[in-house]
Amino acid sequence: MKRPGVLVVIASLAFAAAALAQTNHWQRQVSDQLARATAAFRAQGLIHQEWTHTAALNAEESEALTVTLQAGVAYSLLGVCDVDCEALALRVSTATGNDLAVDQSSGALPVLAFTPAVTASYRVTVRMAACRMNPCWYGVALLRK
Amino acid sequence: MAPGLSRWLGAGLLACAVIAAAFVPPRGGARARGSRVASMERSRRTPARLRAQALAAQWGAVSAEVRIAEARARLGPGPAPLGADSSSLVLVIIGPDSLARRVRPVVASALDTVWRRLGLRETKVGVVFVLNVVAGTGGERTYLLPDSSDRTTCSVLQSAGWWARAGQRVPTGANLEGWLQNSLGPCAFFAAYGTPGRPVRHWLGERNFDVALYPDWTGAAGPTGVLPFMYGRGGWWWDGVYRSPAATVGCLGGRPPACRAAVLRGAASTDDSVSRVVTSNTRWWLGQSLIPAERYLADVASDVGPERFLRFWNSPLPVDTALTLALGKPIGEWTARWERRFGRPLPLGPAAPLGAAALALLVAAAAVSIAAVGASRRQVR
Repeated sequence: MKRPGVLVVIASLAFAAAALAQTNHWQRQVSDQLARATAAFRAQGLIHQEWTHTAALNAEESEALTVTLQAGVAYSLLGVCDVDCEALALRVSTATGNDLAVDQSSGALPVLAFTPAVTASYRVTVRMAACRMNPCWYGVALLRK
Repeated sequence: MAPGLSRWLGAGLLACAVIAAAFVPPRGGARARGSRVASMERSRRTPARLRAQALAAQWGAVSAEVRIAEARARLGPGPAPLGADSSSLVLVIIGPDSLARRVRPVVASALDTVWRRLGLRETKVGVVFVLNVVAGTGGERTYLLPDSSDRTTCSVLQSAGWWARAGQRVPTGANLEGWLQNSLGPCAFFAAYGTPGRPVRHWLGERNFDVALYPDWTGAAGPTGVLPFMYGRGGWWWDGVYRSPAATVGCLGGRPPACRAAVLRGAASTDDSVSRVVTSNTRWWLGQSLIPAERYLADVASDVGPERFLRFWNSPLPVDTALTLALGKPIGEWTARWERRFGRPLPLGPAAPLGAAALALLVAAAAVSIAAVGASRRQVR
């Protein structure tokens, strides 16, 4: 009896969350930063934007995303976060957990540059290492030449 | 052995067995804590009743979640924030349209005033305030805290009081604003300071957010909850005192170690699951582990300022360390001093009342005097 009720609640909450999650100040801040950062990278020849993703995380939480990367293509993964975010960590690893690229020390603007050896699905892990006021909004963009 | 003694011994053992049978919990009984649903009421009951209450609380919490979700879903794609300064606050009224139309302007205006008075504008964690004007006595509240699926919304489900009935006048002014401010409860803390860091989150979850119920960091409200009863002119409410945990009583008596224990109850918990539904009923203040716990964190925030409070709220350090750093002094000392704001210390220990001691001394002095006078007049022949 409880499970269907909970599912209804979760579905309703997800819907309501989407309705309520109009862009707030911090979300707009991240979107603007991401737009500026990708524009700067495009000026360096990284012209194709594979995807972007924005979300919110509490401190010490992480989120894993899956992307398909092409062998031999040079990629850049950049991350930005809101004004309360103090450290954001990015990691790209294979499906089996082997690291392809890691940035744990770049503060609030991490950038990874890497070229996969094989075409496969890879896992991008975003970790909110430090956030002054939870949750902190972040955005990541994957660019390639 | 005396002939009658064995009968008395047998009767004593039988009485012990009866008491043990009455108080030893049966197998499979519910625990007093550990339920996913938090309840403010804490008192000693039988395991069977605890289990029934846990189930009832779970049912109530799930029902509240459904009602909140339904109310929020009704918002549709365009949520209606209360005002430019309250863009993170949404009011939803559940009830007949005619009643909702009558109540909404008054409640919206008061809620907007409260929001601004608490210094809140656009916040990272928004608040959906669901006022149920259909049922309830006005004392039941349910908080649906942000979680992993919705990190940016905290919901309050508040039953309206008698005033929401047809024909009643909707209250205005300070009374309504105070009631609404208290109704915001933990959600106001989430709005002002974001989601707490893991240690504080676990600590608050373990003690059912009892120290974050009244977000009165502006210091506008006076003593609340059980205090008027316990510090009233009629003296101490001893039934309430005897129902309280030892640390609570020690803290009322002004003992810093007891205050520290009362504040840090639940801080050492390693339980990973944190309740995201907090419910309270009209008797939430019975059995508080700190009196008046409901305003403790608001008073800490008011005392140390928003910056230091935010560092504590969001700290990755253990609660005792983070709170000591924020307060700038030992927790016990600060809390004992805080307790004195609300009244005189509870007399603890075997001290005799002043009047009784004076009377006893007077009687003793009179007795000694009479004896001395008698002795001085006695003549040995």
